[in-house]
Amino acid sequence: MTMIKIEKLIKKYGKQTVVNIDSLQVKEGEIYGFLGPNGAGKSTTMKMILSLVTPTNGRIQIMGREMNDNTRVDLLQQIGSLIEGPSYYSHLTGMDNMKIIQALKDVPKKNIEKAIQIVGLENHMNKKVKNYSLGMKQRLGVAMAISSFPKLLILDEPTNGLDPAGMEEMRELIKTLPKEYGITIMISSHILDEVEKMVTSIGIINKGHMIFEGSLAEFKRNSHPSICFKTSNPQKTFRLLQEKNPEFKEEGILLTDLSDGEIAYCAKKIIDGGLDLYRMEEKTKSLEELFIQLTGKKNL
Amino acid sequence: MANKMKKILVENKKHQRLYLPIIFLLFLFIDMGVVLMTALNSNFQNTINQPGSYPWLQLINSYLMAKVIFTPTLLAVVISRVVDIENIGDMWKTLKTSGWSMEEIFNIKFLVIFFKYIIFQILEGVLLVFIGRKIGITIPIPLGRLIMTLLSIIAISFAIMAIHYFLAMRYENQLIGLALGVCGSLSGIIGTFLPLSISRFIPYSYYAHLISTEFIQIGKEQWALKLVPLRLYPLLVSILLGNFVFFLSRRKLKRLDF
Repeated sequence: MTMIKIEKLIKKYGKQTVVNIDSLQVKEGEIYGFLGPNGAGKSTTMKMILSLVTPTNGRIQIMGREMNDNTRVDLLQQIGSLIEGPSYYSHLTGMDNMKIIQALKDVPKKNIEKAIQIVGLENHMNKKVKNYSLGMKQRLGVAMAISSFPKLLILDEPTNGLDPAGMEEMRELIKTLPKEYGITIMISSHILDEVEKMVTSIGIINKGHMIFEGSLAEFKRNSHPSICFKTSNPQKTFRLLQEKNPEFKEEGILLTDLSDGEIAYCAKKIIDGGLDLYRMEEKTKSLEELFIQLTGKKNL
Repeated sequence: MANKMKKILVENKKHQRLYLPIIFLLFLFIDMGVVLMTALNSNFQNTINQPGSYPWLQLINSYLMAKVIFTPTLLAVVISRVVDIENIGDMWKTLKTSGWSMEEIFNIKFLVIFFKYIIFQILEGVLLVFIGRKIGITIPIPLGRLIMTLLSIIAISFAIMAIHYFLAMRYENQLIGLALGVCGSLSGIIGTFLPLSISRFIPYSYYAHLISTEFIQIGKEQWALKLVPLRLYPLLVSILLGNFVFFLSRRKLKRLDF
């Protein structure tokens, strides 16, 4: 089943178009990484999915049903969300907050206990939230979002402000949710390395437009791995392989888009040229490098 | 209905640890303190049961002056408290994604705090009567006038609350509403010294328009208390103004994106 389906979604503020997505699909059981540089339109898109922002144009379907005024309440009850940081009543304790969520979402008490246990906040529930660390607030936000054990969970930059250990914990937590509780997750992030470790498919948005959507494997297939040749004389190697558009790198001579036959040809040419070939390494581009290649942005 | 009741209980739950009862209690002491200043005045006590002294109305008058001075600030404070709890932790999103409409949030939040204000108002009315009885006023309470005055106070407070509610919802900076509350108190006091034709345009001064007696000169350095007919326009105008502001701001906020 398709959990989220977006068609020709547009959001304009005045004359400025901030989101213009032709199509986006999140399938059941996926962890969908929604990637893009700051200001690309990720949060606005997620807010439109959650009815927090009214689209200027376009269609949003959740679990096969059109999101509109008639279906909104029903659909939102099946969605958990954490948008632009956690929400909470800072003057109340963690437990008071969870009780309010329990009443708001009409969920059984055992769900609340389970959600608290999943995020590991059992020992801090009697503390006022204003005294929580940022990581604890973030976990409380996740606990609130999953308290109804929704079919769909929308998380907007859930690791923002967390330290590396906190990020790792959050990542592990998110990874367990589809497997153990059957929750489909849409997660946005600009920390690409982190998303790479948990998502099954991705959508990349830049300046409001989707520039790639598909599986992570498919995205990586487009990465065209490079081969790095380390030899006894890099300058001569560069000259010998001139026809293959080599790049001079610190670790050796880098060639891209080579078939297996071409790799063998290059190796033979180096040896026939009287050079010692020390090493041939395949260099795969990280998601981050590919992302920069696609969006042309380095300041993520 | 059950769903609405549940939402009202949720809103009430959020008021925990906001110290609203303490705030109300503080203003209750202040208001009653002003009433006691009149009640314990020896000149007043010497004349309380004399014909034409209108002791109950004099007590109500001093109470109304306290309302002019302090109630706008009280209303601005409680309104900003209950709205700010949503701003601080950005709970608007959670409320909306939990299936609440902006309209429901707007209505229920106002309803709960307004209900608490009504309880406070009734309590003050009861205390006023209690103080009057305790100091020995034996003439019957002008019950109709007292009830109409209390109803008018509630209506005026409704209008002022609606104005502050809109400001608190619209602007995250709560100082705007609080500053207006203080200005409202000041303009209310100033309004009492202005001709009625001008002060009618200052809703914050309407509490003083309910004052039911005035001094008239009956000879050289001789003054007498004269009963003023109860003015109904503070009640009517406040109901109209409050509803107008309330529904207009609800319509405006409904369209707001998060």
